[in-house]
Amino acid sequence: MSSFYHLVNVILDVIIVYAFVSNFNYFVLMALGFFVLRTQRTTEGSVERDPLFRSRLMPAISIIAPAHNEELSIAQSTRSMLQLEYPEHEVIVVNDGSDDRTLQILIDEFHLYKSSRQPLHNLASAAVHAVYESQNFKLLVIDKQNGGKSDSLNAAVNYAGTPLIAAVDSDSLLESNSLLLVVRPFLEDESTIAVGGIIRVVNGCTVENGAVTKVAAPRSLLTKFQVVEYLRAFLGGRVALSYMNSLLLISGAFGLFRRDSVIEAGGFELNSLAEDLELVIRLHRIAREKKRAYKIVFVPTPVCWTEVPDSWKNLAVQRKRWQRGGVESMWKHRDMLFNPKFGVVGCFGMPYLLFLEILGPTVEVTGYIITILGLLIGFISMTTALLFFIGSVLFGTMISISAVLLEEFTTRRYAHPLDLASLIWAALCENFGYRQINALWRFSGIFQALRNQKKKVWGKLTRRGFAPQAT
Amino acid sequence: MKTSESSRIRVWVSISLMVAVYIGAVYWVYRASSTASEPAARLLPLATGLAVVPSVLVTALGIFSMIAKSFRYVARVRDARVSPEIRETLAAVAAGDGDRERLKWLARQHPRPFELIFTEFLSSFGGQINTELRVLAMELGLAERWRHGTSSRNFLVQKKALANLGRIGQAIDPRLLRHPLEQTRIEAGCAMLASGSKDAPAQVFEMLPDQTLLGRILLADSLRPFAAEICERYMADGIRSADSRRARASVDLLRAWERWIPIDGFSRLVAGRDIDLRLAALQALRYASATEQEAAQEVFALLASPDERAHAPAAKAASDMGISASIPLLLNQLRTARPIPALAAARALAKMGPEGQDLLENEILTGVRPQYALQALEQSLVTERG
Repeated sequence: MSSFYHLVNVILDVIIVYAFVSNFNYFVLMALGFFVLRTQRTTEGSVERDPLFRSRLMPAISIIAPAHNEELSIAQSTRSMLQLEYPEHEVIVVNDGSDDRTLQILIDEFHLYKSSRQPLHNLASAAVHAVYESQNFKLLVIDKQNGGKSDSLNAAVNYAGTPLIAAVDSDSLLESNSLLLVVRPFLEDESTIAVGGIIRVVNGCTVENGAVTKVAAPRSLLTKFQVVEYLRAFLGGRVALSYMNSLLLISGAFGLFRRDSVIEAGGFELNSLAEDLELVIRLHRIAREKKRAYKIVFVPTPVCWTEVPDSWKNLAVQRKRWQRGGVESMWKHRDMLFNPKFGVVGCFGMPYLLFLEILGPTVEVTGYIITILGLLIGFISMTTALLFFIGSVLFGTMISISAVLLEEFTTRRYAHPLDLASLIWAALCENFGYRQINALWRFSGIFQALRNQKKKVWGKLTRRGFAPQAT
Repeated sequence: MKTSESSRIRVWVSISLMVAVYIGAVYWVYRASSTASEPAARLLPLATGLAVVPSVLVTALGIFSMIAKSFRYVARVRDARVSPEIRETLAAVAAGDGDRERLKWLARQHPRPFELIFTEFLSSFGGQINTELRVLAMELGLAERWRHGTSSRNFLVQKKALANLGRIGQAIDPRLLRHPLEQTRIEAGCAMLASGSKDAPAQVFEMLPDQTLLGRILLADSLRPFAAEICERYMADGIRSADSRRARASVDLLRAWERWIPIDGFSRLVAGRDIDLRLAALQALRYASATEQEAAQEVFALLASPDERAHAPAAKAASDMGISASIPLLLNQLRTARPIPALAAARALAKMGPEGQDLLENEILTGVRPQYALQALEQSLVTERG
């Protein structure tokens, strides 16, 4: 029995050390993010758009947007993509075997005609039924057999004739200047192969004619929690990881890639649940293996607004899917882990992904179980359990509040003081219940991944569209 | 703009200091709170210390930022209230019949909205009003403030100061053209051009090769009013330069302007150079070549080039310039090249009038690659019908 207690004590010590090392790591990344953002804010947000918009030297961009049963928002989001400020861009929407009126709405709204346009590349994708082009807009619609998101992205890349491709979610809204901002790293450094923009939560904001006209924090606590999470992930983690050129994730909702690099990498992995993460890791791998100078960058200024789940059920589905995707990608590229051949990506980026993002929920849930069991059996004192809980909550709260403050010290998108106060309140509450439930979802996502449940998943969530809302 | 080396060092020094202070504070909490001898009992105070120190820090920062935000909010509301009066008074004074004393008082009491509005006026009005605004900028001490601002470490302040000094025709320190931060160099260059300095076009043209593409785009836009002068005096030397970056920057400038300013022997200047420069020059060929024949020679050479990268842009250039003599080469490219150049050739043929379109129709019926011909012809018809 004493050896059992000893074992449990050792596990507890490991969990305590893990919890605080990981939180310390988040804290350092957050601090690094703060200093980098402060430096960038003064230099990067200051270029006038007019000269860029007028210039013939800007590289053309194809915006590729896969859509599956998007009849509620497809017309508005396509129109918004076509209206983006950029000297030369084309929109390629892929209708991935929708069962609803997605295709018909596009045909009617944009006066599409059946085109004989041919693919220029041959990345793997499901059969294309037909290709439509607009008479009035630079819009191409590919109607294809259902094959999932990666499959649709590959089909779109096959038809893209521009040097840069922007992968976006068709149910998200890009800010009008987002292309001009996201393309900047490509203009500044020829070795840049991929750039990610920031994803912000549209719930609570006012949307008019496909554009966010007033930024405000959402009303419901669940969506506020997600605002805090997004700020933490993007302004803290990604800014810092990008600074170290070990950014492993460019969100599928908004990323700009050099087309040739994507084609060289073989496109998006079919049936992957985290095709965005997997592609970026593969781009790192190829560049490092071929010993090329390259950059994969995150820039916080170009904004993509996305609607986040406002129900617990939808959120659970999304989080499990993300976790499964993470595990799958990590497993596929496990040889990069701690491999000095892959430089900072192998020695920092991949371990960060494994230990903090993928194994985190396992350690957290194990900690909760052992603490509760220990309290019940009596081998952990109430004082120890309380101290453990308080320490963990304090640190979690501190990280979350730091993320909100990071937003306030740098980009300041929420103008009203009450919005800031409500987000700080959400950051405080997040650690009492939400964080634990989230850990459970992600823990269960790991199990699903281990059981290797593979299918063509779109991970569709119930959306409200961009009509004025009060969530 | 790219983060300069000095700011990179600043970031890492700040982080190291912050981590050092943090570890020191945690160690202090740990020493003060833990008197237990067992390892497990010592671990918790350490862990709690790790959490408590940053929590205190963040709470303080949170309170501070809430207060600061509230102040900013109030200031914004106040600025919005006073702005109409500033606008009216400034407009009246600039037009020559306003209350100068009241304007001075407003500039003193509300410096931020005043400067914003003054800058708006400066960039919106020319002629007599602009001259009066320049005098006012000196009189109200704004010029002095801006001159001081050019050496600010805050780039936004520096940028605004440079731009405003340029607008009121004040001299810009030429050393700023060699500043380590590219954005500062660009702003200084643009301000120098705006100030009307005689040497500015030559100085800015000379700095082009050392800038990124982004920098060149921004400078090209500011250099646009001086295009004729630059083409006449400096462009040929720039393209001829043995420094490939200088040659490329010169060609990029022509592409960016897209203006009909012929340069003597433009094609000859680039003909023997590396393929990247020739492809860049190809896009400027139409409006920079002195004669059509000269331009056509370069297009033929690139269509027949062994380097495949040249084929698609050369086909596009052939159609843009309507070089009908290139039709046989385009037809061959459509039949034998890889998809992108083949499609470019088909599109070029579609724009070559009836002759090209007949060839495409024939290709659809009997050719080996009808798909590209069909696509190009269809697009051409849709474009024609609007």
